[in-house]
Amino acid sequence: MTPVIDARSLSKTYALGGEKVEALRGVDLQVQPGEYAAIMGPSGSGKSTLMNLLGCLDTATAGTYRLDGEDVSGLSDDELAGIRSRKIGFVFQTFNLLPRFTALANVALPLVYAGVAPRERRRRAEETLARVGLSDRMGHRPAELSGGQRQRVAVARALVNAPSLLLADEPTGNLDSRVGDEILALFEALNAKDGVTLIVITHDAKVAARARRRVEILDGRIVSDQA
Amino acid sequence: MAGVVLGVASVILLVSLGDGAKRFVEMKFAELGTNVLIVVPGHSETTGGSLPIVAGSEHLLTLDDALELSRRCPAVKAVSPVVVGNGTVRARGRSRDVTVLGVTWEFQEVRNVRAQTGVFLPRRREEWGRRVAVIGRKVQRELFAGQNPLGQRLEVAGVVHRVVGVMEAKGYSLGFDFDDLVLIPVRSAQSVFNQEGLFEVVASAATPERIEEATAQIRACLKRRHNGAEDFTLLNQDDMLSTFGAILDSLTWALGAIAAISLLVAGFGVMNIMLASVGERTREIGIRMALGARRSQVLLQFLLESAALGSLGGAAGVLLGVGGAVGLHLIFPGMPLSVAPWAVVSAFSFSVGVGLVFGVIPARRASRLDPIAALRHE
Repeated sequence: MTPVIDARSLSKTYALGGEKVEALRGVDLQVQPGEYAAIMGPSGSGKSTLMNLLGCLDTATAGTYRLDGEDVSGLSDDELAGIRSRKIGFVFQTFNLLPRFTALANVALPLVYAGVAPRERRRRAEETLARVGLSDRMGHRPAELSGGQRQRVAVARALVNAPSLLLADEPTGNLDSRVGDEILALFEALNAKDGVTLIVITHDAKVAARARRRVEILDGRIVSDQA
Repeated sequence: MAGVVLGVASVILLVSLGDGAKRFVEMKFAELGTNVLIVVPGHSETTGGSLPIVAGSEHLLTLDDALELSRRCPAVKAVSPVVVGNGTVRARGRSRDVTVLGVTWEFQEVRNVRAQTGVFLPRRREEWGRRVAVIGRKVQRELFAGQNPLGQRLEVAGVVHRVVGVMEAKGYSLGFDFDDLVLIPVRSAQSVFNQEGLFEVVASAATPERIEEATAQIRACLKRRHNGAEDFTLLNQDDMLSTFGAILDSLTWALGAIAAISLLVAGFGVMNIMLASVGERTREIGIRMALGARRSQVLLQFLLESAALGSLGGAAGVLLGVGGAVGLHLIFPGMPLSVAPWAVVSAFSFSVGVGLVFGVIPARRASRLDPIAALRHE
């Protein structure tokens, strides 16, 4: 089976004020389709950098990264954008919904950039909102939704293009523990029933414990990888 | 944004004013009839310009010249010599400074003025020196208190004349206010104002189609009389109309250009609005990029928004400009205003264009953001 993620010796070095910062130092990571993994580490460990690379928001300075078997190391900005619109779904700590758009329009947005026609976009957005249990809130704007509902909309948006990979960056960081639990339960359901490949990036051990595989990262290196 | 609205509105208003002025002039010219020809002394290359200063007798137009023209030019229907003087006219203890024209009977035909009360000036050549006068309505009002002036004494620059007629109301025509004018026979004017030569000779062609013919005949006849020299200028109404038209067109263009410059300046306002917008929506741009927006798609989005700003301002400006023109016309019915559709369309298109052009820099800035940094933005 082709791994969704096949990263070998992945490194990222920044030039910061004349000095070189090695954010990632030779990371090896394979993730198979249908896995639910957590990448855990303190702040400054390089987990955000790793997420940016895995999500094709940035390119590595060394090493290779194959997403779904495709080498994305040397791609241009536009090609990376195309991959993001088709294969990656993001869920952010601060939800990052567009405030002037309804829930439905927010969910449909990745399909706009993937070039899907309006009617098809609407259909798939409605369908995906139903999967996260928010059909009755389609026409509401983010300001009219609770924190948990907003994150559900974000999850729907991340799923609408049937991505190969769903990346969640501290998805419960802005939610109280009960609501956070609901979101994590949603993740488990999506992974168990629909086989969504899921990676959660977090510093919180309790959140990481809910995943089926825990990858620990420290100082730019993977120090442990347990299922 | 107000800049765009005002810019578009002023383009429309100013162009309407210019266009209206031009139509006004054309309308006044049309009242003259299309077969009027004017001969002025002195040769000038550009017809319709200011009249050249007469210097030397070889440039003079004489009464005999006018007589010859009416005899020898079959394509010419009516001819009148014209002498112009400024003087004080006195009657019944009142006085007034007016323009005095020395003309003949045929002047009525050529310039389309008639006596409404009484008679016009004498027809026969022998009577071209008689001291009679035809006055305009305003002169009648001012000097005779609106009462019947026929038979009354009228001193014209010190010389006593008798009023024989009052002109119908006419207003301004080719530079003269006929309501505030006194007409006397041409020889009388020459002696009263001590002028040997004529100010001009006015003539009308037999039919509008024969203007070319009449022009050629007049030119040939006068050249013969002036020993082959073409020391006079022939103006016809079309020449004057097109010159006036050209002058007013330039005026209109100049006004429009000034207003367009203000529209251009307003473009900077649009650019600032868009730059502020890009700044405020940095995070949104980052989100869109994370979701798969290519840089070109971000660029296009902001360019369209900028063009929309321009067209919104343009639409409001069109409403304001057209409304303003209509309103001005209602308040000042005499003011010539004509809203030209081409001005509205151009001003609107220009404002959309301004929106597009001044949106380029903000749109490029938006498209060049780094998605990771943008997502971290406030």
